[in-house]
Amino acid sequence: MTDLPIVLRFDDVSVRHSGSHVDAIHGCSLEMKEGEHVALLGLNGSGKTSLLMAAAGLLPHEGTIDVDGIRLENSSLAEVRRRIGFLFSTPEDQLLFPRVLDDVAFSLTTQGRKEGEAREESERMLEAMGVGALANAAPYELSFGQKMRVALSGALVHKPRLLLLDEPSGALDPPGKRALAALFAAHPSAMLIATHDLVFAERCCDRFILLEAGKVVRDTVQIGEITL
Amino acid sequence: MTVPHAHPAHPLARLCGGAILLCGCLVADHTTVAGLIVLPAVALSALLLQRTRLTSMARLMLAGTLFYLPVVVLASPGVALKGLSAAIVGVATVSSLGPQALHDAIIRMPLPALVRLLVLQMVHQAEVLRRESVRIHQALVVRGGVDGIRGIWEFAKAIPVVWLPRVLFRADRVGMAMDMRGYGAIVPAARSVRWRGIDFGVVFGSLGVAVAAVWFSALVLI
Repeated sequence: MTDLPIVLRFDDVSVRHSGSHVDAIHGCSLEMKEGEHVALLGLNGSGKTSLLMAAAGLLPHEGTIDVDGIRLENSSLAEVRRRIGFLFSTPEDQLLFPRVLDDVAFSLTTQGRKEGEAREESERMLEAMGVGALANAAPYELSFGQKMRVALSGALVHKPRLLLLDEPSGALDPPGKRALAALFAAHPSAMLIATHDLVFAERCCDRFILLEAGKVVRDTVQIGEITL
Repeated sequence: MTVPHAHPAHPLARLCGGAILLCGCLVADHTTVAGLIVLPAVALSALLLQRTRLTSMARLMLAGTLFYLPVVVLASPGVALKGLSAAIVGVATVSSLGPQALHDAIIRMPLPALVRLLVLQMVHQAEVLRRESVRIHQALVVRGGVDGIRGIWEFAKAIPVVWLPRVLFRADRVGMAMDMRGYGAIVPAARSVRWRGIDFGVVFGSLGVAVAAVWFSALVLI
């Protein structure tokens, strides 16, 4: 994997929330290569979500962040975000349309795809995620797990170079977690998955980064070296 | 938002009709006797136009009357009647459409793209928040063991400390998601629709009622 291009690079990145006196992320440096699946592990409040948000330009940062070779700056935000798929920990927040199919297709139409083509591709993605029957449903009517799958469909459908996923297995039942882990394991995009579920992480990731109080304290390919 | 029912007219025609009647309510003169007669008539037209169910109609009128009662005391019956009529027209229109039909109708509205996108998102988030409010109310009922009028009172007290912070937090996250997903860069395409006689009937009928209301309200009757 050494020759593969780097899709995410953090160089001495610090993130501080407005009004806070401490860094949520402090002096973080890491690299992720194309197709690499990395689990970002840590307890609640360790900075996992802040790191993901900084990578997507949703939080201001110090230091440098490069996504797919593009320096993350105000002027490059749109270009960077076209290459990213993001899943929020509360999927409801990112469902912006009253019909599931329209919501997923929106991810493609913003990239210039034609409406009909976007719908067909979105239907295929929903089928692959096991929620094809919900294409015409309203997001309000869905269970948490179904909302998660719909939001994931929207994040995956445009085949982003980098997926940033915040607690994707949260609130899923065991079969749902297994199915999701299998789907991620087979997915070709690079993934940075924030989770505290070690079993889930082991199923779908090949590298494990442990965060403690906003700092990277371990970066390993052996999950056995990590204890939460 | 109530469960929408079958209506022969297209959602866009119903939304336009509702918007026209709302304008009629707002423009009609509420300081004349004629205005006091005309305003309820416009509200009634909206209820009939949107085919609002009798039970929903009665609930809407009762809730609206209670809400505007202080206005009668503090301002004037004319102001209260104008507000009540406008609220009835608005609620009757929106509640008859349902989220998807309302979305489809707003996309086709002859408004600037940015305005349409904002209204679309306001409507969508309003439904999300309504459901969130129901969950908060249920949690209060379960945890506090109160229901009925006292439950509503407890919920009202919880609004500034529970509901508002949640709404602000959610607004922050939704704003991030909109940024992230490029919402605002394009307006979702509307599927083509062919207008039929009933659609024109709804729009021009509403226009007729609104114009008549404005004209009639300007007459001073003793």
